[in-house]
Amino acid sequence: MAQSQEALEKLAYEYQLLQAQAQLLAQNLELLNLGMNEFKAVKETLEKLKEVEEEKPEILVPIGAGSFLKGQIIDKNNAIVSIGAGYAIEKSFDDAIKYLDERIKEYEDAIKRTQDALQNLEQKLQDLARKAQKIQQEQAMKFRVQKK
Amino acid sequence: MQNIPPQVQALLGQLESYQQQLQLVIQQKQKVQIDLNDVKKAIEEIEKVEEDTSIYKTVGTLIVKTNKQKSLDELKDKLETLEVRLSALERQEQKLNEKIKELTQKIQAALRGGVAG
Repeated sequence: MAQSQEALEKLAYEYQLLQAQAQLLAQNLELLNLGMNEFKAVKETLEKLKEVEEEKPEILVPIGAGSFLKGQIIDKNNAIVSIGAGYAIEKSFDDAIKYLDERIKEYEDAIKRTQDALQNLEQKLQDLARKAQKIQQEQAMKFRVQKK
Repeated sequence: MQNIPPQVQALLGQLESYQQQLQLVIQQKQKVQIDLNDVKKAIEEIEKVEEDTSIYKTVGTLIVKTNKQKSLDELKDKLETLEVRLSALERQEQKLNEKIKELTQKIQAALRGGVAG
């Protein structure tokens, strides 16, 4: 009896530990998705801008709260992309898109890995729950036998 | 759980403090490793571009224009600093691990001695 109680407590502890891990992974997954979407949005901007015919198109510069100032793109051939460590490089639109694609691929790989790890954890959590249920059932059975 | 002798309790307290220190060192190490990777990637990207490519550097809230050579020099300096910090942290980690191992053995021996006596 005491033994199975101890086993149950151990399972509950393990369950909590794994659950915390799973929560962390789920948070990571969300952040990774947000990050990837940002890169995808920039890529789309560059791709669409390439299709604009004017050489120096008039644009609206967002200043927040749905408000804008009028501006003009003076260089429709190059973009400046951040490469980390506080540095950014001027790249042609095509090179910039290639660079963004590489980053997006990295995000996709990281997302895949995180998803796999999360699935793995969820499987383990299910196994633990099943084990705990089994112990509880056995306990209940013993109860009945003892009552007789 | 029997009573734990005061000497062993003191050792356990020490062990806990070492473990906390180790945790801190590991966290710092991870941060340095992330920065190190960041710098390495940036160097890799800058090395790929032509000599006259415009490169910009974040300075507080501003972004200032610089060039390939200057940025590579700066980043390589940063890389070196980070590597020195990483190896210092690694040494600290190793020392703490040794201390923890030693203490654990001491505690185990003390407890065993207590049981035997």
